[in-house]
Amino acid sequence: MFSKILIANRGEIALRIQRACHRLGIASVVAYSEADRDSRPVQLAEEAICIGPAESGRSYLSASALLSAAIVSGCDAIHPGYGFLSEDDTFAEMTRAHGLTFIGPPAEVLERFASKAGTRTLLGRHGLPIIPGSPMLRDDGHALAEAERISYPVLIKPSAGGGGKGMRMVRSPRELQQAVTVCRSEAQAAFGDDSLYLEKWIEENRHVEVQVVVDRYGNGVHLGERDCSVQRRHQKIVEEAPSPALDDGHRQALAEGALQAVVGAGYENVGTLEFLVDSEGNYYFIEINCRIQVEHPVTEMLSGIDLVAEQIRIAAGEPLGYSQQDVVLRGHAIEFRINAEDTEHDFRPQAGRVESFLPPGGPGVRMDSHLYSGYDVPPYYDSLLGKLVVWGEDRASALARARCALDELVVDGVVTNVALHRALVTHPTFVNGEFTTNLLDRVGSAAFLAAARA
Amino acid sequence: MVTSREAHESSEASAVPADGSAVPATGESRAVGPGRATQRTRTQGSNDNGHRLIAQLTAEMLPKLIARLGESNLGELEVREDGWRVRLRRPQPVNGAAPASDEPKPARRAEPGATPRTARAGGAATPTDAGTRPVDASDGGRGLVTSPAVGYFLLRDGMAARELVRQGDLIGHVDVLGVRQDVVANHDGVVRRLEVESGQAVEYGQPIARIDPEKVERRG
Repeated sequence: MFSKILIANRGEIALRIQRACHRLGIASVVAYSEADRDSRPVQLAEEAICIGPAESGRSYLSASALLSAAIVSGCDAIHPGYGFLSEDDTFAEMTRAHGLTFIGPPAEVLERFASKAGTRTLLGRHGLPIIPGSPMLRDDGHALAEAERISYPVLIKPSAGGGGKGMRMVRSPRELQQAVTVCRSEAQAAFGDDSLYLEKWIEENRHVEVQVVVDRYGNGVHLGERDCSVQRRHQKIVEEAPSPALDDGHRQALAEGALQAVVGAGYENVGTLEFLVDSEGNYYFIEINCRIQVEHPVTEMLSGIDLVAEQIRIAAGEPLGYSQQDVVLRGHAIEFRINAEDTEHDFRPQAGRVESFLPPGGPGVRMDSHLYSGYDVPPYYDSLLGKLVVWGEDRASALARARCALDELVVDGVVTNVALHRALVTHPTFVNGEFTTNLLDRVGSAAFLAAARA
Repeated sequence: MVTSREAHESSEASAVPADGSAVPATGESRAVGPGRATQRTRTQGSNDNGHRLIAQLTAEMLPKLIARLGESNLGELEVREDGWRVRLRRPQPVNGAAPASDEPKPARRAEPGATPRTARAGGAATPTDAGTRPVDASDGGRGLVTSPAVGYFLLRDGMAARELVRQGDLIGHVDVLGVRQDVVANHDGVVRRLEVESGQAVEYGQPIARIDPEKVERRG
């Protein structure tokens, strides 16, 4: 086991990793940027080290600053958290070259799963249903033929990058021909690479993902799925488990298929496989996340398994030590991402002083947040302030607890999305478990909020 | 020919286009405290692309290559990528150079607690101590020179308290994975106090030296 871990992240996940280290009896060092000097993880740290200025390129994204910090503070492992360098195979390789352990999949595993298209092919070979798609498009003729084969509507996607750039949904050959030109130039401008491919467009889809835990020796378990269908412009807002969209047969087939495929493909450590589920319950693999995810507490509430501790144990070479029969998933959990953003004004990110922070409590309520009254939210990073997670015997009791907890939660001084969550938990579509990923965007968040207030 | 000054002494690194064509750039990187960019790359001619490549090279590629070289028994390492060639050579003893024992071995991980250098790492640089807060290096009145990076500080040979310095004079280096970042005087004056010892671990923004500007004025 490691003696000292460098926490190469910030905010609530830095705090989460700190807690896991503390519980495991491992010393930790918080690496922080100048903007995070007064942050909660730094305040709680036995040891903290300033790695650079606020700009993440020179701090949380600087491999050399993080490695140098780990070396001078005598760490033997680095936990990258999520985002930043968490799935960077080069950083993982550098970490190893300096004699330290990267807490996550080893560099060669990260490399194997780095390409989205390559990963689909790989996991398709290992038995996963893959979203119907084309290879790289050579020209218009090729695009038309592929779209015909997949059947309209199709989504044009750039092979590089993400974030909606160079992406268009088209319903006819004429739309396709027009959009391909636009997408090529958008992709070229955004990523310096104009290669495109097609993917089947699923009209009303749900986003369901499977949590897996695999050790170095090929022992793996799945911890069920999470439903992340409440999204705004591809950003998850609420996650829950189990998914209200799946019956037990589909649920089991999905999770077991996902586990079998990743173990077969040589995955290691904690990971998540993302799927789209259509209205008939058919599911299609879209991508894999080779790291801890923001929404991991949902699964922890159901399974009682500490996923960050599992990451650390597996990276240290320990065997899993339990099998699928030992995993018991109990009850229902829902996570609400509390973001500093102005839902009334296009979800603009907010910064500034938190005048008052009062987290909710009671049975089945968990709040993972780095906030404290008087904390200044810096403007340089993402807007996640924390995660409110509730648990209940079933979905209805989890929802009841969610309503109480959201009412209790106080975040004053900074504009947050708490009002949107309060609207969601009383909205019939959400209460009935019928949310699809495009609902908020189609209805419009503003209209949704206004309707909730009326 | 582009030479990264950061890499001199501890290892020599050079990058040239693989086709051998001349790039009109003489790169020079140095750190001037937190008020300035940590790495200032100066080029003769205005080759912005070269600029970016040098920055990328020093930030990403060099530490990795130095680690590789450090682990191997090789005397020299050369890689080619995207039309660039990077060659690293092990440090050669140079006349008048500081004895090797004074230098942390580049790209070697310090064993926890094995060297006195780790003793003051991280937590010892108390973040809550107002004195360790980085100040604007352009604030000449304070004359505080701070660390441009996290790593091991190495005092320049002959540098000591009460030394007279000119703006831009080298006070020492911060060794970041074997790549050196210069620590230079931010204005003319007398070194009043050195805040860290040679070989000590420093964090970003940690005070390294205080320079008293008034004394120079009195000395005329």
